[in-house]
Amino acid sequence: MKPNTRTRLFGSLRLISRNKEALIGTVIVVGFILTASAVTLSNLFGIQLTPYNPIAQNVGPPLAPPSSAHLLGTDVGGRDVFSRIVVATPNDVAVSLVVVGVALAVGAMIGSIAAFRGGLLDEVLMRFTDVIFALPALVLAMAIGIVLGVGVTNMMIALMIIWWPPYARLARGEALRVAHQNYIEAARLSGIGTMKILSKHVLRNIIVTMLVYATLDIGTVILVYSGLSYLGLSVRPPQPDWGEMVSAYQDYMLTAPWLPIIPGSIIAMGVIGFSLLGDGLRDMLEAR
Amino acid sequence: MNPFRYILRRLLFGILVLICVVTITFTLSRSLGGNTVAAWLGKSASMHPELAVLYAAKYHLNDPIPIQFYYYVINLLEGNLGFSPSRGFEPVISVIGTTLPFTLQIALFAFLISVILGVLLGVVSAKYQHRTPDTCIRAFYLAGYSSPPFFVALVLLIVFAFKLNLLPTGGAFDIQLNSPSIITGLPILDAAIEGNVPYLLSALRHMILPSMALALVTFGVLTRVLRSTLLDVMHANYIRTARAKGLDENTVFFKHALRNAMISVVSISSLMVTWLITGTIFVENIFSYPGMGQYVVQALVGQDYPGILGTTIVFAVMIVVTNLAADILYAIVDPQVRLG
Repeated sequence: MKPNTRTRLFGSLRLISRNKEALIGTVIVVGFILTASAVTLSNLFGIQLTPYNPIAQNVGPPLAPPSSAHLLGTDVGGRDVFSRIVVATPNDVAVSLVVVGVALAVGAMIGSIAAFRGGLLDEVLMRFTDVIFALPALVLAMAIGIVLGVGVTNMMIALMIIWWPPYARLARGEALRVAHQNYIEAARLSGIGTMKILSKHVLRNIIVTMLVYATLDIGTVILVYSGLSYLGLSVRPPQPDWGEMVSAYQDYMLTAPWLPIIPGSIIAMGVIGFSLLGDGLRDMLEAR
Repeated sequence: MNPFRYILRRLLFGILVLICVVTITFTLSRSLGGNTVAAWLGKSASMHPELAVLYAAKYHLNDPIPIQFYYYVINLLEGNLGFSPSRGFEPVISVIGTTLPFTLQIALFAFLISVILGVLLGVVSAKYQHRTPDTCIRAFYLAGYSSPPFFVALVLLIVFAFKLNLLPTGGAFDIQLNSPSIITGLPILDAAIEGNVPYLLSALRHMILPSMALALVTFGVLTRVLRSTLLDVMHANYIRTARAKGLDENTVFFKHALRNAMISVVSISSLMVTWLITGTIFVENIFSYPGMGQYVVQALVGQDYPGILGTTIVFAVMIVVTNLAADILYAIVDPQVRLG
């Protein structure tokens, strides 16, 4: 690591730790990502990470309240809720990161090309973006999902199709702002082609703003994805998923209210984590 | 820009979005794999050969794609959205006709609560910036808009209906009451016009929890935007002028700053409405509220494609229309647009 990068990294860490909200957000986000990575790795190597097999029935008495043996209790089939929650983490984390990542890449490309080429191409690209942006995301993802079929990957694809427009708008605005600065003019005068200017100079400068927006946006993807999951479009039972668990457990809200409340709070916690981190990053960016 | 030109542009844009939605639903309906008729009728295709014939004829399913599209659009314009297997093959349009008023009812009520709550809390947190009320409000709206609507609905149901027994657990009204006759289409409005007080009270009681659930997940957007615009506006030159004229702080805040900041509220309201409308899908399901959201879930569970695609179109129309209304309202309240 170059000393310059290191001081910058430590500088950011110090800034984050000074902002209490951003710190809480970072802790939650890191916790979720670590859990997701650990579960994915353990699946790859066929190791069981959780105290119980998340799909196995009757590992405990049915509908047992949280205890030391079953941290978050058991469901009606006697399955361990804690194990199920942990094992479901990669779904939400992967879907939200992939959807936002793809949206960022596609949006940055469309937006910066529109800004730099201008004219008719700009008009066509941006009107197309506006139209897709105006479509109701959840409803459309639902309709696309039902055609593609139930499954985590299919929901991811459905969301990817409709998620990029705000990124394209943001990228266009940022690219226009950058485009009139002297160093771009200088690059142009020295005969560097548009594509090279875009990739070497423009993208580098707009990416920070876009990453901050993306961090805030991950929470929204988690919300919409958990909604699709609640509607039974993501995993097939007995595979666990947070949204699906709320829907499956809501029948026991009187006898075992913690059953639907726990996965619901986990979703909310994930969204809060990304929002706090995103807000913190935005404050840092504005302060710069 | 000339306000009429602006509104005309938004109108044309809305139409473009709808054309796009129809193209998408058409494409989806033809990409269900294999025979469209079989896919639309689900497992009952073999049990109802007469329906299959009717479908093929009505949608010209054996013709080339452009002709199919033409008839698809014609059928849509005639309000013909197909038949719903999950509702005993009732026409989709008639199911929507009976369920939509209930959805509109709670969505409107929720919008009202959301705006009141959002503006109130936005003003309070701007007035007490960085002090305790501001912090508490921030925690409250952060928790609200970070929670999935089904989760908020479930918590409200458990606490207020089951544990405290304050409000009904589900449905839209007490079954034994007489429904009002249809005048405007909205049951509560009709009951109010007819003077059917017991129905009106019962319907209102049944609306509180679902609407509250929707409002709790949406008001935060508004509070957040209002707070930050108010704080920005308070540093503007015209506010300094108003203060320098010797106006008292409350007049400056409410008459000058808030009025201007409300423009940002209008511009954010279309986002709120989109969340509200999609939120009804979950909330109605939890409160067994007989609206379109509950129908969507039923259609999803029953693999009822005509139902799903039909409701997709209606949801899209609702969202486009409300966004258009917000745009027009924006043109009216924002002098930058109004005066060109």
